[in-house]
Amino acid sequence: MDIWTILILQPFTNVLLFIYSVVGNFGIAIILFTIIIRLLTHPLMVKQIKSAGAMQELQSNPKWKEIQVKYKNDKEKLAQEQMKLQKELGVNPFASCLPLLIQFPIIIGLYQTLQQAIVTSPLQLLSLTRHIYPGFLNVANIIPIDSRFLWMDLGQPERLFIQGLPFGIPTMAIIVMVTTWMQSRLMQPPADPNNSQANMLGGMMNIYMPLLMGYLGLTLASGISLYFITSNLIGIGQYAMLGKVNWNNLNPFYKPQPVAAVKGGVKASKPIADSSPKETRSLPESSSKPALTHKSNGSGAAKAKKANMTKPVKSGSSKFK
Amino acid sequence: MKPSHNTTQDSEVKSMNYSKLKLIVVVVFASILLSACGTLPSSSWPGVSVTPKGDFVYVADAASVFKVDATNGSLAWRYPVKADASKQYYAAPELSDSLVIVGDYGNSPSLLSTETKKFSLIGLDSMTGAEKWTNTDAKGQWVASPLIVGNMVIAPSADGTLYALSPSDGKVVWKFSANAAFWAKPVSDGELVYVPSMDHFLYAVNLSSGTLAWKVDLGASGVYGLAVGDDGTIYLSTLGSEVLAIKSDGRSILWRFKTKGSVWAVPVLKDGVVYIGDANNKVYAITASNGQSKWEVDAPGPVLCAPAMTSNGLIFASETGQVFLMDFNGKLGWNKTINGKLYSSPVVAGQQVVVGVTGGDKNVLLVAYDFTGKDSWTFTVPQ
Repeated sequence: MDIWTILILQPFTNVLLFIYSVVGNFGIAIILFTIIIRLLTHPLMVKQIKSAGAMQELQSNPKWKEIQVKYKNDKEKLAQEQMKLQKELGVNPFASCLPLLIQFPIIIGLYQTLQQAIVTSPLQLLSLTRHIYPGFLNVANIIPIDSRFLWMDLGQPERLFIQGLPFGIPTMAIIVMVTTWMQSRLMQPPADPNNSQANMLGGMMNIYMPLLMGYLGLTLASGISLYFITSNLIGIGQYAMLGKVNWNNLNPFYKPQPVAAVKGGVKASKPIADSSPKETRSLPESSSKPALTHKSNGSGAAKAKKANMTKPVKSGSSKFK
Repeated sequence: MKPSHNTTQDSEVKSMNYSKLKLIVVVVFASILLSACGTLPSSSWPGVSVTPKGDFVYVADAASVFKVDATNGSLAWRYPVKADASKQYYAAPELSDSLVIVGDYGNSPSLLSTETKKFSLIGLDSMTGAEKWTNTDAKGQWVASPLIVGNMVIAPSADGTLYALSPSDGKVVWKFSANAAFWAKPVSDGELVYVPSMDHFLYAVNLSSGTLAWKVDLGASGVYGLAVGDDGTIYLSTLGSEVLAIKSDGRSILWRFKTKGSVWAVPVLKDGVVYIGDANNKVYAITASNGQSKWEVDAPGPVLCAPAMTSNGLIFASETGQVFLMDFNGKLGWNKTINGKLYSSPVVAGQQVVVGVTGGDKNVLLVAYDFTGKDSWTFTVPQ
């Protein structure tokens, strides 16, 4: 057995089946298992959110903008100065990636566990029985796993057949798509007028990710869709608990006012080179050490005030936490 | 300054377009990768059957069913002529004089399909391999082989229904439902049909009407088929690592024999002795009358299929690729190694034993030996 199986797949499989043996419903077992995993990885998520917030704040820091303009033709020097500033302000650019990277194997493991547990052939059953810890679970009692949940067979792609309709509606795929869209919209950081590419990528991810997840929900076993939906909803809940959700983002007609535009009085479309020097020159020396720490919970207004920006952040930016 | 500003905008637009393109490529690749690792591919081991005369071997594997000449391993026909990726065949074909019945494991529906999977049970002409009929009533895979008995086809489906069909047109005559999937091939004495289910019960169903005669709780899922003794006693293995003997009227379990590892095959019965192998590299001989161990010997690997019976002894296949002879006293005879995994029960075809190979080297699907272990022929999946 390989390390991945021993460290991730086998423990996950045993825990999922243990939950199933207690609750006796595979759909509920998937939901509970997803909740447990998301709770266990919650500290990592908090760390990631905080680090991402710190990185975002750093990018609206006047000194950061200043060096971007100053060394725009010298990439090497720019990188050096950026690193220097990051060090000075105690921001680690990898701190937001690392928790995310740690979560990846867990998510993949969870996904594979579901695949493994929903057996549809003797060969899959043989594989499953070999992953169950002897003495921990009794295979004879667990098998067969009743994969029915609500109107679904969790081992098959889902279609809801309504009398009178000549085709089945892929309801789970639709819910997966909607919850993925909701999650990406709610977690979307405020638009940064100085980084149009990032804004564009963010906007495109809001379109492509739900489509991709919806496609997976359409073609894969509905047990996987149930996991996606639960995971999305918990993710939204976690963000909401941390005060990082902007519910206005769910309104497709809502046009958020870009943060930096308010902060610096800069039009979003205006190139950085035109605007930043003016903005940074007005800053006093004291602004070189803004209150940007990991402990802060990211109020853009508070940071802007402490950094003595030319305009304090008003109501528009308070929505972006 | 203006031209310079335009140039900056142009380069930004170009850069954005490039990023857009990159993102689309990444998303497309990610979806392909996720789909590939996420799809639950239908997979199992080849199902092998042999005609009563022993002149032809039928093997169902992945998207094809092959009829192979048992004398030299040459291909007689292939069904379907052009493989259809949406259908997968693994259950050993059931044979009568003119009919070959194969069941489909199904596969993922097409991308934008609004229908659920369809699982076909197909009647083929044994001479030509042409389709005679198709039944798509089942909502679950055809994991087990059907049984042709009298003028009836008894087909157990993974949707938990036992279907009785007419062999002439494949139309349903009656249905019987259990609480979970059927993965085991039924047997019949001409009056009752006996079939274990994954729901832990062994069912006896009236052949003519499909009504339940009796059922008995096995204590674990019945994954594989069963053997019936001359006195009507039923022998079968369960997922609870047990071999059971059940009285013909279903009123009592005569004995239970606990094996060291899990058992994955139908027990084989000869002269009052039940033979079976397990996943812990053991082969057991159990006295059929009382369930006492007669002997227990080590095998060269995990034995996950039933042995083939010859006059010299039993020919077993192990998961790790060994094909070996064991006499009726547990003494090991010849031993051959195949490059691949062996889950399919070996079958006797004339004076040869034929073994189905899973993941065989160079697409080898069948390997035949004579009873002394000498190589006869191999059958490779035609490209």
